[in-house]
Amino acid sequence: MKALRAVWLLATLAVLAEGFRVALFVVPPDAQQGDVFRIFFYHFPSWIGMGLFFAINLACSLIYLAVRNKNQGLALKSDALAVASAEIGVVYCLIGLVTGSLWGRAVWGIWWTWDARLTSTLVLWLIYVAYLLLRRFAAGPQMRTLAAVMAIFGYLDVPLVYMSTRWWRTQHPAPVFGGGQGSGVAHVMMPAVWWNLAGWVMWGIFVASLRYVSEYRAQKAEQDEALRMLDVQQQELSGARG
Amino acid sequence: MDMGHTHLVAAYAVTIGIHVVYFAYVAVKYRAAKK
Repeated sequence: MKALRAVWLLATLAVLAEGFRVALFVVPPDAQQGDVFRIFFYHFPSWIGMGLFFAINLACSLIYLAVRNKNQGLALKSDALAVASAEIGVVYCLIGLVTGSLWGRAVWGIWWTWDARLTSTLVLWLIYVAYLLLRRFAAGPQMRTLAAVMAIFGYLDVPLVYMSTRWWRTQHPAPVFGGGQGSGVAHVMMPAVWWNLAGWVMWGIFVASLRYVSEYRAQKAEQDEALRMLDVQQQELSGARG
Repeated sequence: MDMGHTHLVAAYAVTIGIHVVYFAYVAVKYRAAKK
C-alpha cells in the first residue's frame, strides 16, 4: 500500500507539473480576457473536485445510515471516508470561491456579487463547514448519525449550485461545459483543462486516502477504548455481585 | 505587471498554498494516528 501511495504521489506531482506548464506557458492567452483567463485552469478542477468529493461524502453517509446497526466495521469505514471526503471537498470549494473572486476582480472589477451561483456556492461551503464543526465539537454515535443526515440535506445544494446559471440570470458566466450551443473553451485550450483536471483530482484522492486512514484509525481506537471500558465496568459489576 | 497578471499569480499561489496547508494538517493527523 505504501509503495502504491508513493507511485500515485509521484504520478500526481508529474501531472500537476505538466498541467502548470501547459496552463501558463503552452496554451495561448484568451482572445478577450488575455492571460487572466488562465485562472480557469485551476478554478474549474476545483469545482469538479468539490462535486466529486461531496458526492462520495453523500454515498458514505447513506451507507453509514443503512448499515450502522448491522455492520459496525463497514459503518466505521464509511463514516471515516465521509469525513475525509467532506474535508477535501471544503478545501476545493474554498479554492473555487477564492480563485473565482480573483478572476471576478480582474474581469468584472468586483470581488463579489450576491448572484445565484456565488451565493448558493457560499451557502454550500458554509453547510459543509458546519458539518465538519458538528463532527469536531459533538461526540458519540448520535453525532455520526446526525452528521450523516446533515450531509444528505447538505448535498441538496450541489445540484442547485450546478443549475443556478441555467435557472437564473446571473453575473457568473454561462456554463462553460454542457451549456449547449456556443459553450465550451477553444480546442487549443483543452490540454490545459485536462492536465489540471486530472492532476487536481489525483491529488484529492491522494490526500483523502491519507485522511481516511488517520480518521479510521482514530475512530477504531476510540471504539476499542469504549469497548474496553464497558468490559471493565461489566467485570466490576459481576465482581460486586459475586 | 498589470492587474490581470497579479490576479493570475495570486489565484495560482492561493490554490497551491491552501492545498499545501491542508496537506500539512493531514500529514500531522496521519503521523499521530500511526503512533
